Amino acid sequence: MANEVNQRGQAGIALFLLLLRPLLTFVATLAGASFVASALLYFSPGNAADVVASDPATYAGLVDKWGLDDSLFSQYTTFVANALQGDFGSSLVTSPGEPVFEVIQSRAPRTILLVAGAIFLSFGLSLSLAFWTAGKKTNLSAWRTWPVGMTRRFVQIISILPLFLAAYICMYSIDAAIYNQSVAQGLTPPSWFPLLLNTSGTKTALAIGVLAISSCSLTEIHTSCENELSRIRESDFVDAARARGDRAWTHILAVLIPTLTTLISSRVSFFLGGTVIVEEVLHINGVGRLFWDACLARDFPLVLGITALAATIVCSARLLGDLIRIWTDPRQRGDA
Amino acid sequence: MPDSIQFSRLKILARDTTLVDTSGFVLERGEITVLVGASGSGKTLTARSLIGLVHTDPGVVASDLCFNQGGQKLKPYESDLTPKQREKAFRSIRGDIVGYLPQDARASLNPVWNIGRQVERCARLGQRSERPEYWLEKAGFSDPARVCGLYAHELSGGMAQRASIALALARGSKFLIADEPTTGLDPTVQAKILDEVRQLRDVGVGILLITHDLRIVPQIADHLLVMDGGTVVEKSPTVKPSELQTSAGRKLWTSTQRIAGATTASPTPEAHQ
Amino acid sequence: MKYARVIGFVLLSILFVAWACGLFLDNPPALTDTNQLNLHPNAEHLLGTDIHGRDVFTRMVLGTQAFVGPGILACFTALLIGLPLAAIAGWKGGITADFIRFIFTVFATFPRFVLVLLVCAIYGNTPTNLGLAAGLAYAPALGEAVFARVTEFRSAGFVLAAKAHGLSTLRILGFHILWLNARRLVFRHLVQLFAFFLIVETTLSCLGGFGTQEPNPSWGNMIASEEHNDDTLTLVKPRLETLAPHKKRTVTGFSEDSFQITMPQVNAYNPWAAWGPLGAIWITLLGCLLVAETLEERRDA
Repeated sequence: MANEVNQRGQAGIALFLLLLRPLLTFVATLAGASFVASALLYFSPGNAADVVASDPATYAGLVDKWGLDDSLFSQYTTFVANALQGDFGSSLVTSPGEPVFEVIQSRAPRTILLVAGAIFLSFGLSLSLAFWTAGKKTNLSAWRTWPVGMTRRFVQIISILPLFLAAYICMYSIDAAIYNQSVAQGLTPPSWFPLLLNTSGTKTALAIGVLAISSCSLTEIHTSCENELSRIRESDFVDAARARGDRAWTHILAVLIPTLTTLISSRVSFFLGGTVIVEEVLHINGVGRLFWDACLARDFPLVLGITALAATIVCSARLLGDLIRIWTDPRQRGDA
Repeated sequence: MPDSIQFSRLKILARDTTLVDTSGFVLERGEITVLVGASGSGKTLTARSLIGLVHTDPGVVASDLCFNQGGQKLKPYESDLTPKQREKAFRSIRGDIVGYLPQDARASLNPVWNIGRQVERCARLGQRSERPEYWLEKAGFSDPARVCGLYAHELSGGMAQRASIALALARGSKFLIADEPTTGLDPTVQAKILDEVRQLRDVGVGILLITHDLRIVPQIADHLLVMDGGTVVEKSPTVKPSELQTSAGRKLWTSTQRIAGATTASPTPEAHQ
Repeated sequence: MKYARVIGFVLLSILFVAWACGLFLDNPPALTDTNQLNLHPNAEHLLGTDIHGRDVFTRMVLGTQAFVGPGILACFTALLIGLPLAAIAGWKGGITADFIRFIFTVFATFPRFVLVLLVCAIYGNTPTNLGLAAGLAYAPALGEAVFARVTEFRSAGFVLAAKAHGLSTLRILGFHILWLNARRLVFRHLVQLFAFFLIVETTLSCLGGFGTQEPNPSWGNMIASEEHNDDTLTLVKPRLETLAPHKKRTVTGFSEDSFQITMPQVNAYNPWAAWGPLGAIWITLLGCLLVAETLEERRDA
């Protein structure tokens, strides 16, 4: 009886220690990232006061008020202390006076929708394709192997186009097609025409599609999925399962999920960076476009706030990935 | 008529190389047939051709493999079957008729499921209703409840081999191919595993045991076959390795003797005259 | 595939030849003669002229200047930052490795494009800054790959043998592990960095504000100069003609409530002014992709 209680206590402590490592990594990485961002700002040739102040007196006053002459460490600690309470300062140029947090908050849902949609679409497409193409080699002499090779090349060629070009081409082609179909013939166009001016579901769908596929996103994810899948399919336990008359796909999926989680959490930062471009090109009012405008206007508090938010999202995605991996893959629970 | 598996011709190619080109043998239920040979002599390939898991290209090009099931004959390598039909035939053969204990037991266990879950799954496939602990105990584990919660990477080599046997027991195949089940294990564990193999034979399972260790042959074999260079070169009338006739067989036997320190003579046939 | 290798290297050599030629060319001046604007390809102008009357082909060749030089700078930056750190981390292991990998993870937390934009916004918009920022943003990826490779080889048999023979650590690490065994990996990552830099540079130039400013040509701002960036969406109909050149339409005045169309220039738009740079970007990226593919090894997962 005492032995059992002891065992359960030990298991509890083991579990706590196991979860502690990803959590500590999360906190440490986030602290490090925010420090790097603050350091970048600290060493800049100009500062926030330059952007706003027009005469030396105001400049001196602002430097005093914002503590821009303090050491890097004290500026950093003030930043973190404020940030933990949700105070990132106020935007200087883009929406003067408005707290950064609120500026971001109003636009965040659209960006999150884009990123989530892009993840679903890219991984869904890649996995479906990978189940067909994984492990199949192509050689030119056997014409039966051509479809797989041609599909891979097609995915590559479509995918290497940069985000902004893909967005422009799609937007203008769709507009041109709609224009030629309807306006040129005197009919009324759909409510979302022209794409650039109206917020619409079609535009969001286009943004998600472009984000999921372009800038080598789809081809990289497809190649990773293919490699993982072929490695799993050729492994001994799948072979043994088949030899037992068992169906292979349950085993394959069970082992695929931990690796898939790692893949997904490593692509989040890429999609976040992509939203900046996609939103700017397609005129979607999300956090990405906000970041672009803030950088153009050198609105440092807003820039820092959005960078901190991006770092938080990436770290959270990593943390979630680590936790899911610990849950689904017992090999991670040992002394890895 | 008792169930049996037989074939008299087998040819396996890998691109242009002939890996196996041999006459065959018969496997009966309730008997242990031991297939010995040096590494690379084609034993595993021959065994895997019985369940249609030869992965080379083009693989099995000629075989008259025949499963005699209660009067019905099943010939999966018939030339008029399409690959899909062949695969379908083998799916009905694998597991239900023929089980397979792979060489690397630990790698052949699913790494993310615990042993209990895998044994349970096998029992369900074999339509057996006993609990996983029952099968683990029959496979020789003294603490089946604890083993049920373990994962593949936490098992030692011997434990993994016994877990593999538990899976085969739960699956309940009529025949079993055991690919080098004792290789790399310490003698006590080897003895335990041979006990379990004998147990299986006693309940009526027909076993094809592949090994390159001749020392276990006398204790366990009902038939002895020697393979060399992709061909079955000898079917021994007795199961005494010392009475093997062919050069391949004798080379194996004298090498075994040398390792055991029984003789310091060089492994030539003349030395035994 | 052998074809991939050949095509990839051919495309990239064309790029470098263009870059070399561009060193000797001057930016063609804007013309005021309206008859010379938007010419279609002819004997004098290989790809025609653009909206300001400048020769498109010359500007395309000059456009390589905007990203090849800074791109190579980015490669060197990533190499100088990532390689030594990763080699030390891989060789020593333990706390040093954990710490260096932590630094890599911290820098990898920022989306690469966001980091580049951040550095440009803070430190000014020059090609050097762009190159340095891109190298810094890509260094963690390069570092992690080299770290994995060095760790894999650290306990290899031949390394232990070399140590036993008394070879210095620098020689073992530098020559045997890095040069002989990690060379292809490093080059593959550098080629991918080059492609990434091309994408970043053209994106920034096209969206305006950062990157190459007029009148310096860059493939990005050549595409951008073919359209307006403000929200009134002027010139929509002729722009639609630019991207759908097979449709021949006479241009008439057209106006609606929400946007205005202004009359285009006398000559119909030259589609090559936009599609030339676009095709050049696509082809260069294809070349980079194919070269990276040939540098792949079977051990790379």
